[in-house]
Amino acid sequence: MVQARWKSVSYGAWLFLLSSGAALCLSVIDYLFAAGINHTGGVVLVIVSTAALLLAALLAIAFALAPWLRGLLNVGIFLGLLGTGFAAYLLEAPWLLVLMVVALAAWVSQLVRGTHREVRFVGHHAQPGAMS
Amino acid sequence: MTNRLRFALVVAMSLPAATGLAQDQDWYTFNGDLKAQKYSTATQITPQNVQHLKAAWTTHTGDVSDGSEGKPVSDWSATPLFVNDTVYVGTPFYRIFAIEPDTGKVKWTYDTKAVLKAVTQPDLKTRGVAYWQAADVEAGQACQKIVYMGTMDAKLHAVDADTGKLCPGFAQGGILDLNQWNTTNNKWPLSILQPPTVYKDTLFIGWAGKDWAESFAPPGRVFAVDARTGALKWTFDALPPAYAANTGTANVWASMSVDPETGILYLPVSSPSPNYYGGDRKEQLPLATSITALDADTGKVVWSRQLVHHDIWDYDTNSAPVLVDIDKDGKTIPALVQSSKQGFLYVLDRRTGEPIYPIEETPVPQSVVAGDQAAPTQPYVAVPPPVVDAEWPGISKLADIASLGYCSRKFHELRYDGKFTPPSLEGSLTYPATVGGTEWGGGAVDPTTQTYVVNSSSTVQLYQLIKRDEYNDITRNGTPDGYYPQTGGPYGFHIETFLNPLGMPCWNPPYGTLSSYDLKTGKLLWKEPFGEVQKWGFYMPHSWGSVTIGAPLITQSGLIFIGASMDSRVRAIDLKTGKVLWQSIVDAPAVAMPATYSYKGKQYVVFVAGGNAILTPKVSDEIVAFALPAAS
Repeated sequence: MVQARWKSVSYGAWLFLLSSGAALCLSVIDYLFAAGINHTGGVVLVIVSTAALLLAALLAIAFALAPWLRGLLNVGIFLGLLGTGFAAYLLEAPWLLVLMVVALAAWVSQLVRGTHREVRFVGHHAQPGAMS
Repeated sequence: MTNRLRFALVVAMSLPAATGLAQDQDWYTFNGDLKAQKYSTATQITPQNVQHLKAAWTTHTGDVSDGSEGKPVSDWSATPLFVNDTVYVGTPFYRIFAIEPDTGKVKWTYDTKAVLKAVTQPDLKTRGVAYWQAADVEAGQACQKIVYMGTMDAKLHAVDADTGKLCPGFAQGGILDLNQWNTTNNKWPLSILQPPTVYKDTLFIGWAGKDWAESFAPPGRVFAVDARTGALKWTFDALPPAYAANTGTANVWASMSVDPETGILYLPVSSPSPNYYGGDRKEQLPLATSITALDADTGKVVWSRQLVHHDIWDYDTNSAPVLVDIDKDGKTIPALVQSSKQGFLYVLDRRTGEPIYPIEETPVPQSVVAGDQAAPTQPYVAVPPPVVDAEWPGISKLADIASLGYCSRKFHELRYDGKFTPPSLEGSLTYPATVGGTEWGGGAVDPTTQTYVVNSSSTVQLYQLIKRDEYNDITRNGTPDGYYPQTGGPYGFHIETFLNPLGMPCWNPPYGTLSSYDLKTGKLLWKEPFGEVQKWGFYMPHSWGSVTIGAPLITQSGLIFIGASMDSRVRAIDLKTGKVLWQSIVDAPAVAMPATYSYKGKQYVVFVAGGNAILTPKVSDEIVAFALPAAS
């Protein structure tokens, strides 16, 4: 069950993890080099928020969290994605914005797909052997 | 050929000789030319190809201070000059850079070794250099072409334009000390932050002082000196000698313009001291806060028009009048256009000072401060429409909600009776404020279409007079930000921009606009929010615009080039529509006026990106020249 669940979250979550990591790298590069916004507080904020998203992604993937904690994490991730995306929009950092959109899509897809697989697992448990 | 046409042709042909310069695509004065038109006949860069514009070269001077290393912050508003096949720029450390126009390589530098302290102004500030050359240049002789650089400590350095060596025949070993003539109320040196205006063989020198510090300050004297020797030719005083000791300033700190056809020099004269209380200077001071026309040869007043009576708002006339001929009602009128902090555009016949579009004396709010008496009326202009609205923009709901009603509560504590509400003890809301309206750059004009373009700001500030005893109590342990003593008078002064505790403007946007006018009719052609507010890196909506400092230039191809906004972008704008066609990011707000020139068949647009603390703390030492790639 645990192994199956890991697989069920993996597709979207890995993409979410990847895009959050890329966003963190990009925001660090922007802080150092991006004309107009380098060395600004706004980019520092985005570095912090993308780092938080990355951490949240790792938490979600690596640990089987209690439902209430997972719910809380999902709300946090959702707000973090929206906030970081809005910050990227105001910073006029289009690639950062694109990564946030990808991360959001990945996370939503993971949520939706994850729920469906859980339902499917119930059926599988009723028919032992279907996991092989 | 009529006599009039013949005369015009002769004048046009003799113009380069009069100035000693080939005018076409040089940029040989602070404002591009003597008429302050900020206009170039260059046509290589057009609305169709401007999107291909790239940085051709970038140079860093090293002369920049963010205020962290014991030096005041730098404030670099120098227009680069292009003349003598060289780009000349003065830096806020009072050094001159001579730069190759096509590569950006430094040919030579000259260091005035000026004191880098806030002797008068709070920042290390300059608006650059001036250039003169002899009508008949003698080959092999030094100092036939001279670059002049002023310093905050009142020295004007004259340097050979080819070698960067001091010209020993000028004043004392190449350095003129303006302070030798600073004899009345000499509380501070006469800072030469604005480069002199050069006409024929004469330099016209104004100066800047220490704002809002003294009630009785040096009187605003303009000096005309010989361009070769520095010898004093004449002086002009805007204040009547009998009153000079009881007030001060009414100086010319901005650039001037000259009509080469008539030899008339046009001065933007600032307000008298103290800036915000007039109880000690109730006499008529008709040349203060005025446009004043002088005979350039003698310094005698030809005419003068006061723009603000009994100025208690620091509404200095702050930019060179733009000289342009206007076709109106079947006649060609030699005109000038004067932009202003108060937002009016005054269009006058430059021969007489009479208005081409009406100026009406309008009753204004009166002062209730003991000892002062505001003027009963002020000159109002309806056409062309002012660059800012007649009424203040109103409370910003966003700023008000974000500050839990701070903006509304504060507004109700203030006095506001419309434009020209006098400073008061309870605090007055002032709109537009001392930063404008329009700042020292003024506007640009296309003389062929008589289209005038000007950037402006919509700023709200709070002015409060404070009784001397109370002021002394407040400043006993140091002077907090925004407090100014106006020493010698009965009131100190507090000024602040109307922001909520989060730093958001309490008034509605746009905070800055760019406007275009048809001078033939006085009608507004278009008005667009200009620039973007940037805070912590975040760009606010374009519709908000940005407070602006600097000015546009216009090219014959129908483009406007301008920096000026707080978002560190430089832009090319369609003269016909006001739409942004191209933009690029530079290191700091390009608050200096840009210049354009053509060299070896290529047109360049050059920006100095120095920054100004009024807009944002971001400063730089960057000069960038843009040009089209070879294939474009």
